Amino acid sequence: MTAVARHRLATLAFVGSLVVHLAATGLSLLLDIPGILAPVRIVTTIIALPALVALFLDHPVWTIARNTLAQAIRVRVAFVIMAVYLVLVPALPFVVRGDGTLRGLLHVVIGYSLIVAGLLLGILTLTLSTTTLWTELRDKQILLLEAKPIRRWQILLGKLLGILLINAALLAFMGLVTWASVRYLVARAERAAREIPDQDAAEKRRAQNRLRDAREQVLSARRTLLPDPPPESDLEEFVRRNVELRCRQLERPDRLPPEARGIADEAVRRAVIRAAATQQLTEEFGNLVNAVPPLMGRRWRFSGITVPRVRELNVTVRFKFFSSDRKSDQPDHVRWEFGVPNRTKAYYINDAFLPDEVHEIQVHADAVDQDGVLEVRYYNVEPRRPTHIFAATDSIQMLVPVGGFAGNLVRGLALIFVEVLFIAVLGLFCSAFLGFPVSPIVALAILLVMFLANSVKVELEKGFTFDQNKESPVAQVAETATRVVTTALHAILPPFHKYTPSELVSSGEEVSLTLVLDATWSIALVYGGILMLLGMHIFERREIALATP
Amino acid sequence: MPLNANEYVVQTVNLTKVFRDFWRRPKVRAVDQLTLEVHRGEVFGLLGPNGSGKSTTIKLLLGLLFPTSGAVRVLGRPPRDVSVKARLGFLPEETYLYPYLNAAETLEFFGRLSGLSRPERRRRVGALIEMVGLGHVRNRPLREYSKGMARRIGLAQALVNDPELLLLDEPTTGLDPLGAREVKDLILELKRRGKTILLCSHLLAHAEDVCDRIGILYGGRLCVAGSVGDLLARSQLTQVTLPALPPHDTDRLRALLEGFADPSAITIGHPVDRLESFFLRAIEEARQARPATTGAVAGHFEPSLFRTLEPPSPADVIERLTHPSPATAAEPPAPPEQPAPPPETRQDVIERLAVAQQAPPSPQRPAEPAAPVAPPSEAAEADGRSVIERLAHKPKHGGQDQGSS
Repeated sequence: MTAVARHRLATLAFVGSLVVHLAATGLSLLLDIPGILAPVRIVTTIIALPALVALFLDHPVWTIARNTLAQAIRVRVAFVIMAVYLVLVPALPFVVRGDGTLRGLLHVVIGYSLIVAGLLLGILTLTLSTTTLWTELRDKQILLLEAKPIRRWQILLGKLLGILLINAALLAFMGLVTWASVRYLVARAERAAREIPDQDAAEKRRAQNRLRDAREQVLSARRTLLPDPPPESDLEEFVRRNVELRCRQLERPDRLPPEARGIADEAVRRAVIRAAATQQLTEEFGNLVNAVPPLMGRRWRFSGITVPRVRELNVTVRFKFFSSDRKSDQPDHVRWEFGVPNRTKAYYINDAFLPDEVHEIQVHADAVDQDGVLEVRYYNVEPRRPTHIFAATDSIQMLVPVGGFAGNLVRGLALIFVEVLFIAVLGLFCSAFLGFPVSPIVALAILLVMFLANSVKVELEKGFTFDQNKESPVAQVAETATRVVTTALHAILPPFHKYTPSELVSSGEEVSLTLVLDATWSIALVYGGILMLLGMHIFERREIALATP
Repeated sequence: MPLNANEYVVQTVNLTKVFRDFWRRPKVRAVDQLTLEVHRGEVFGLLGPNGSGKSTTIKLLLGLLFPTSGAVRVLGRPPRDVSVKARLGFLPEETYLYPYLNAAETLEFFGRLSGLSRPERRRRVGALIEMVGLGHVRNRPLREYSKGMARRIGLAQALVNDPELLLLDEPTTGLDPLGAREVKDLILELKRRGKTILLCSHLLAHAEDVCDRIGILYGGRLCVAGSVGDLLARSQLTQVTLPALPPHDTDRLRALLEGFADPSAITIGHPVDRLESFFLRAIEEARQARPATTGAVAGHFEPSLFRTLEPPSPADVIERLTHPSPATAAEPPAPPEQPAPPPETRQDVIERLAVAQQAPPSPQRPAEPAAPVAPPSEAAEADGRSVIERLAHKPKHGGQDQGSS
């Protein structure tokens, strides 16, 4: 097969798998059948990967990649990044104290290391990707390349490969430094715990507890589970009991729902009012079950827990509640009970917790029954104290250990790599038709918009307004415009906000392989692939060396 | 006009390139209706003043620029065809290399891009570095190279794939006279091996020495094209070349010739016509026909701005002998009995320099490229030829390039 035919076939296979993947994603969203995505993903990956390999490992592409790599090494930029990282990260434990516990220190060190890694590599990649092509155009080495048997798109692809290789090497280095720092901190804490004299038993136990906390809450990969939704029957019962009363209340002219106004037919009007009442009651039920007044309790059920059979392991219940008294800054006494009655051991804890903060409670894994179910009961035990409110979603989670720190770190780094890959593609895309310094500025602007679009969307959802007077036309127009723009941007820009490696790894939460694959597909292959193909297309058709000497 | 791949290695038909501004308005017509044919195995010189469209033409031939209208065929195919690039070598006007690579790595890089196998690459890279005289600095990064050294590496990279067609844009700029001489010898040697060479140059003497045919561009148009011999022959005159005659024989000859022509039209002397004067004449005619030009206009040398240093050093002598620039050549030739320059011939100077370079290069100036390195005179030619012998593995007029697939 000739080179041209091979390239065409590979490009066709890659573009085809992208199209199929996008179509499947669209269908699964439109028709609400998420099940079709996984098999489609497997098939398209099987097609897309060899196609990419065929394009990337082409001889000229590889030659350009090696040259890009040589450039980064010879102009020492790679070493500078390594040196900066070596100064910033290992020095951190000596500067930061955290909350005084090993767990807090590790949380800060890991989170900070990964943020710095992402930031440094992001800056390096943006710089390299937006300048590497431009310097060749400026210094006119491109004239020599152009006279050799290499296509322009191969030059661009070679640059991408080179930048990715540099990033992979640097990321491996940074991962090793982070891992070594963590090992050092743990070893130091272990030594300190050993050195406590045996007669000081309480202190020794505290030190060992701190070590265990750090291992369980940071140096592990814990999968997050959400509680089962309250049974439908509870809601139905609540609605059935209250709907008649609510309908009578809504009949009053001052409470009549707007959709029921002006309906002459009595039967239709009643039906509309009843629907409105049911809706209101459904919403209220959600609020009701999430509010725990004094001397009342609340129950959650977690199922599908695959606890490792190592019974020394704990599972973690993470929760956060709000106080109905907004000014309250006192901890509230509560009682937690864990375990399935008559099936497992029961554990309880009475303690005071501050509202508005995230707390974690370690529960021995034998509170989980053989079917993987854990029941959690909660009591607001103090009379004449505020009501406790749990947000409808994610105010209580369960974290189940599923793996170790090293694997989680590697998967976290893989997520950073995917993000860096997108930045590299974005930079090369911009430099395919823009010069310096326009291309880095444009690329940076796109990245900023990408991060801001999500924050703005979150703020809008929280109820942000431009004007206290919500009815003012200016506020309405501004809000509508912002909403439209951010929604549009949110829809077309890559969903970076979904992937937060530093947050996950530093709080011992699992970076699942599914998450990594999801990021690889949605950010690297779909967004990166489309942008790269577009960049290659533009560069291929562009006249270069226009400036006649 | 048919585009014939077998006959023409480079062919353009009514090639036009118009540069446009941001609003797509035509700004400059850099190449205008250019019809050019370069035959297989010849050295074609593309000459012209600055801004006449030479570099634009080269860029069109390489596919860096796209024609506004007209057609281009290089080795019988469109210029952006990768298979064409595998059979082509290009030396740009200035040498643009990667400063962080050394000579060997640079050639290795371009060899890889040309698709040479590893053993082939090893062999050619080593031999080419020796051929261009950079063997002793092969491991130094190119950022430390002088302009002349970079030029030599540029030439080596153009030859790395043993090309059938060489596009050389000002190949001798930045080279000292010896280096320039080597390049000319190299061009002739490559021509003997059946390669086709398209040469752009301002240095008319160099073009005259090596070119079979020339074309003169002015304002993007080809105003003259033809074989050097035909163009320089002045057909309205008849020249009889005899061994130098003693004065009384000259008088007898004149008396004899007066029977054939008007005595005032008869000149007996040593007829010299340089390409340079021909070039200037051609440009002047073109200027009168088409006053508009896209590039620089002819400048005049202002002697009062420059001091004349006396006496000229031996290096100046070589410069004048081997490197005549339009400005110096336009001056009347210095009478031979003028005492100031030492009576050294070029050969003498070269030999003296060759003896001098037997001593190891002084450590203070390790980067000095040309004179100490370049093997001069016959020894050099023999040396260079033996390297070429090793490099060119093709018979004369050899067809396909085997190093490219």
